[in-house]
Amino acid sequence: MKKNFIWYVVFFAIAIVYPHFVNPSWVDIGTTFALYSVVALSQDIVLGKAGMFDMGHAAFFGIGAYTAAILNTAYNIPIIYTIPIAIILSALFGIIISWPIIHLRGDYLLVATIGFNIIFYQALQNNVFGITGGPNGIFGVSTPVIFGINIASQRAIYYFAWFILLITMLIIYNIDKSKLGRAFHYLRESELAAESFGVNKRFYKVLAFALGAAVASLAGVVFAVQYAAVSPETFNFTQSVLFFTIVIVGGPSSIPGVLLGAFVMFVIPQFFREFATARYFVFGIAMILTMILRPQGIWPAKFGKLPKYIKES
Amino acid sequence: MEIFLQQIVNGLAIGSIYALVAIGYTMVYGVMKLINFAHGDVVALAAYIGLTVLMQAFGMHVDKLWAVILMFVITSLFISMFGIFLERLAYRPLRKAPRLSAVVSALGASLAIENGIMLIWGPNIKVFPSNVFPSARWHISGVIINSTQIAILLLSIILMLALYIFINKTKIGTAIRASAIDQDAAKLMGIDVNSIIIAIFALGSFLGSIGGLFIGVYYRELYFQMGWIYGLNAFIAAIIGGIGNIPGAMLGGMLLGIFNVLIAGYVSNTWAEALTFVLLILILIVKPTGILGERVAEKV
Amino acid sequence: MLLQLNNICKTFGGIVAINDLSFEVKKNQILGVIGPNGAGKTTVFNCITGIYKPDRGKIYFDGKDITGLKPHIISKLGIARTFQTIRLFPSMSVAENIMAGRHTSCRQTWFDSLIRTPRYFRDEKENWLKVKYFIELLKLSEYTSSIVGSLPYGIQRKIEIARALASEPKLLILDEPAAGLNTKETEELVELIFQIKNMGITIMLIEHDMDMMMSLSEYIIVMNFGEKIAEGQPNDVQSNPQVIEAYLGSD
Repeated sequence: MKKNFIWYVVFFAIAIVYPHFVNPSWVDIGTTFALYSVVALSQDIVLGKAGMFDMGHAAFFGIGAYTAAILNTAYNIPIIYTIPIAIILSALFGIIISWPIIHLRGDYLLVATIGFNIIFYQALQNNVFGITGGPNGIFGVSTPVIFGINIASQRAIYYFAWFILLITMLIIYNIDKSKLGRAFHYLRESELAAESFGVNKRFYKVLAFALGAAVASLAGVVFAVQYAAVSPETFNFTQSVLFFTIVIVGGPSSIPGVLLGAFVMFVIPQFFREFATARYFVFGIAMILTMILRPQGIWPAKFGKLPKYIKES
Repeated sequence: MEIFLQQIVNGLAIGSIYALVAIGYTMVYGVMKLINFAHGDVVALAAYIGLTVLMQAFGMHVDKLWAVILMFVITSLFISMFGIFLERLAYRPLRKAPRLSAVVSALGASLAIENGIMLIWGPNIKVFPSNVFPSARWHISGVIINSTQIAILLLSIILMLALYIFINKTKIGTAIRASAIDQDAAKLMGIDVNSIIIAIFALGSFLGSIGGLFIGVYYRELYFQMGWIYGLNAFIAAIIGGIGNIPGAMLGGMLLGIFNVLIAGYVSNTWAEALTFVLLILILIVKPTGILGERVAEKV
Repeated sequence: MLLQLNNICKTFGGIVAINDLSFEVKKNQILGVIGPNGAGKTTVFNCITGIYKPDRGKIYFDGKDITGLKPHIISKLGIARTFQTIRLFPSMSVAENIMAGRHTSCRQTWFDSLIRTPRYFRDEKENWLKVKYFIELLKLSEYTSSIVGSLPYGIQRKIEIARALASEPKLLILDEPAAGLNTKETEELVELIFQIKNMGITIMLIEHDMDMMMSLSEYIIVMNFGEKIAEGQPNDVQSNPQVIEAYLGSD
């Protein structure tokens, strides 16, 4: 535990000084990396912890982003107030969407979540209810004002995003070492045994979706602020595949794993912008090889970290 | 009424294509319990290969029957082998691994093939020549049927009949069905499941490649991401018919084709995709085993 | 009487798994269920614990009608079990596995878990210490942090029992707990079961090891083809001609 803690301190220390050493386009990448990590961690709650094949998670990311964008541009609601609204709305969607499909077998659940993602995407594209702005999306999202400070500069948004990441990591950590996290893991490893020991399947599975949706939506709000705009492409099925892969390739239910996964799947391709065309081809091959060579993920979760008082005799 | 019949005709044509592609999904899923996400991209690859073969090898003679037949033969042979290669590379090493690993590998393969297509043929739309199938049009009581549709429908039906006979009346076909029900029991009965798996990938890719060529001939516009759209739709068709059930895939394909066209025609073109998925989700909730599928119980 | 089954029927597709089965379990009794493979014994256990819903008939536990209730509800009412094929959580440690038995006793809400309220800390400590008690009771202390998937079969069986005990059940159901154990391990198991009885817990078990069943059980139910073909004290059952025929076949 101590060892991991030091790594996290180093990690955030690097993140803090990072913007001072790189040019603005790389600061942007740093911000998006933080936000994508938040979404991936939120996906991990559903996929890595509770073991449900969710391949439509980008939709929740999008609900947060679009809620903020719509409320802010059409109704002039300050961004700071859109945050709780976006979170609650997304959690509600998470509950509504997962409720009817929660008992489907793995592959069927997968396809159903893809379905919801695509329905969401088409709704955005088709400017449903006239509020989503169609294929071009919505422009002119303003920035949050917290305690009188306007988080407007690129750096400020960067730090805000990393702050959100820190909060998310704390939430995930809390989930893991608690009745909630254990219940998720029990369901994932053996649903029947978990049920036989009092774990209410439906409650925990839907809760996983709700929490995953809520956290993803928080990232969505900040994402809308970062680009001052939202558009449908960022929240389509291809993005969901990205988040899904980040979790599995990085290491399910492992915070360092997911962060590493996000780094590998999102940041590293940025280095190869010149090879733009070959990037994703290499990617695909890399995904195959990673699963063959390291199926448990690059940095798998470790169980068995118990409170001290249980170990001493 | 004519419009409705017209839609049905159009729907049957696209439905045949879905059916051919759906069979590939359902066979692989039936035996390996794996969604071969790369299948749609293999189908797309077939279309591109077919176009290349046609243009490069036969350039001037695109409308000659022998050229078309050769295009089909060469492409389908190549793609069948490609399907075997895909299984060997991306799926066989993961036979014993947890399901999620195979899913990610399938997605990786899909990504690689899709972008491989883009690397080779470029990101721009490629167009199939328009007279590959002889184009005649018939007006029957207000409905326009063109010969391409007839050709696709007829050829698909012949292929599906052939497949049906193969699956139900030959030894290999029986072995495939047995492996789908219980792989371990099949092994104990002396069935070489490895060879069966190679066979279904070859067969599924073969049929999918014909579907891909039909897409090229009928829709004529090829873009490197098309594998996903057709793939997802065909997969939905397989689920509707009952995943793992071959006649189900055929039925599902036809139904989905008609559904697609009717929705686009009568309800809204821009919501067609979404409504297809609404249909899928409803089926998953109400009867996840599909129209012809069966629930298999798990022993506790 | 703690558990009562009245005229339970359960069919799967065309196959009748249980046919008109009725019996009782008295409080603090050790009741054995025997019968050839496929007799329906595990199916009965699955009906009791809510994994299957009987097509007909009623099950009463501690005066309450529990027929068809979901497994997690039945667990809360005080029934715990082990499985014929071990169903532990293989990636997790022994302690975390046993902690599953404490799930229904943990009072923290998901919100407490999320933000670590004082209630969370109290709840965790209380339950982990209970887990420790059961680890020590089953002599598993050296394996506390070990990952379950890598442990030997006999130890895994003990962990399953510890997990069930940790829920402090009124009724403990053991499905072939001695399967795969060697002689020494089986002896320890018998001792353990007597220990559990002394804790006031009622026990139902399925076993094929006849010596073990005869020495452990105070009362036996014999099943074949989904029906009860005999019941009684071990000695009576042993000499019952129908029972002998069921196991050995007739001439």
